[in-house]
Amino acid sequence: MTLAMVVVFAVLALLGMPLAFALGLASLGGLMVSNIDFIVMPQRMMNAVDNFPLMAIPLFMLAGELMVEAGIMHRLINFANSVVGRVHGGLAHVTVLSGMILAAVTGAAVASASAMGSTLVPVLRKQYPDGYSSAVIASAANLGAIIPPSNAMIVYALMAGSSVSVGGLFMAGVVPGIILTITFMGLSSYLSYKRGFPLTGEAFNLRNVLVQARKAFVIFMMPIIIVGGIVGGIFTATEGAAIAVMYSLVIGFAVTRDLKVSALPGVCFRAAVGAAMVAALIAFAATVTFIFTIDLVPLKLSRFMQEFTQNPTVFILLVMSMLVVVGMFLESNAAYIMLVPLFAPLAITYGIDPLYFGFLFVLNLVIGMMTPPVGVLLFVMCGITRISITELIRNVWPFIGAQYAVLALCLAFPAVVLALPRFFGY
Amino acid sequence: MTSSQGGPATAGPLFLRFKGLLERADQASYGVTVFAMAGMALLVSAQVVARYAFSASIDWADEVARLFFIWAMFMAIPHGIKYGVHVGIDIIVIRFGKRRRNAVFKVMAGLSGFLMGFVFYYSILVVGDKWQELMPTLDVTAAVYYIPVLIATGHSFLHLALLSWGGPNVWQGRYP
Repeated sequence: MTLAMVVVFAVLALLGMPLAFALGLASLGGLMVSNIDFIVMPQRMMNAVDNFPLMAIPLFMLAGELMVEAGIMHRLINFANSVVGRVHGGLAHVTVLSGMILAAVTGAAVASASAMGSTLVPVLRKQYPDGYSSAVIASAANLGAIIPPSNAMIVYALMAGSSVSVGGLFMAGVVPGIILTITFMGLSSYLSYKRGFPLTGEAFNLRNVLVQARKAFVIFMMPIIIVGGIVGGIFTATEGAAIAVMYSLVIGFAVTRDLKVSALPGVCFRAAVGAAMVAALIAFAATVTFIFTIDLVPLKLSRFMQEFTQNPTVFILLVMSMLVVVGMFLESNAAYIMLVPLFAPLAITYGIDPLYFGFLFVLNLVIGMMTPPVGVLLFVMCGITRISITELIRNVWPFIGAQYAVLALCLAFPAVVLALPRFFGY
Repeated sequence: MTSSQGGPATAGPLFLRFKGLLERADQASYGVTVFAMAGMALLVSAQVVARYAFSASIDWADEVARLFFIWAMFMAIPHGIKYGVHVGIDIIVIRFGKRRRNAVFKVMAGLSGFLMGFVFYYSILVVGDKWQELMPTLDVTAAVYYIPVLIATGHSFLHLALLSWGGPNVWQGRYP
């Protein structure tokens, strides 16, 4: 039954049906074959979405939309330009640094890519070819799912159950996120130098840095308050996301004064539709996981893996190799929803730290958002810059390679991931 | 399904009337979605403020915030269909010629519409089943949790039927 469901899903998905609906039709077939009452479908769909922690996703998206609408991008870019503007690949550095800070505001790679694409592409276009600019923006936006708060981590924690805390995963992402940022900057400098791109930006001036930092201070405070509050146990991830919304409103109305009341309905709507894509996947996948459970798939998979290997390292390498392939073909949220309930408990039976496994899982699928043929960020950037996917793929490979290098680093040295969460008591 | 790309569909008066009616339904659900999103954000924030500023708790806040969340998410799903937000894999279909690609799109929209119609029918049964039950903290029927599933699947069915009828170029709209 499970195999038939997977085949139905794969065929429909490859024919272009939205993944959420392909999951729904596959599960419909599964219910039919299993002779289970179809009434479970709307019940499962509603119960899957009726989840307090899941509310953090639309709220973080709303906060991100509000911040962008409030005009924070220019302050971010000016600050980044004052710090790293005058080096080889200076504008690329500005993009990466802006992406890192924006990541701590939006929590979502696609939202970051849209925000940065619309504001930075006209500037980047004057100095760099579109392919290179798009690759840099996509890479910088990908930090959104690694640096806390991260919607991907929220979905992972939700699917993994009580074994992983959102706060712990957030902390696990900090050090690798900073390493990724530095790696992207180094790579941008190297590529810019090698390709002979001109020096751009202003010369470093401490006074200017301080002026721009003062203007951007309110933006820096947001992740400190929100992530600090979540990690410090002052509020939950969902409550933190709601506070982020209120904070963004204050910034938009009282600090930048660029936010208009008339823009609020559109902002709410965009955040809802963006989050509804994830909600639809979760809703329809709920019946799939229900049928997996009835078909004892987790147990069968556990037995298969235990017979195959008893070694936790081999297990992690197998799962990571599988995720590299999955990330190339499956949208990351769909992958979390279908695979985390199967593999997260299995990792515990191998004695692997749930936080460590969770972070590696997320990082691997986050890289998948940039790998062809199904890299969501590639499509977003092609839509903004109007370049061909082939040209973007040609430029994005070095950045994908850099991300896999950081994944390998995290695999080789677990302390890179776990030191900070342990320090905070996770 | 990237239904937001390309030019408008050329079709007869019946098609245009169907499209016009659907636009009115979209406007109504737009309002509900925005209201639910705003309500959710306000209630969750109010709960935090009440806890730290007044050492109090709003008993019904979490439950009603969750209800707003469910309404916002389900009501936004049909809009995702309209704007082509729901992600899919187009690695194979982009290699097809335009006519074949449109035909596959229409079949996929039709099958997705069948799914939505099916869930819509069973949602009616669930709503009827839950009508007598009450929410834990409020004297309101527990069916309010399932009504958005009912509306969303019905609304999505209509959108997918339109796309199956008119093809991928029916809507050119962008986010408001």
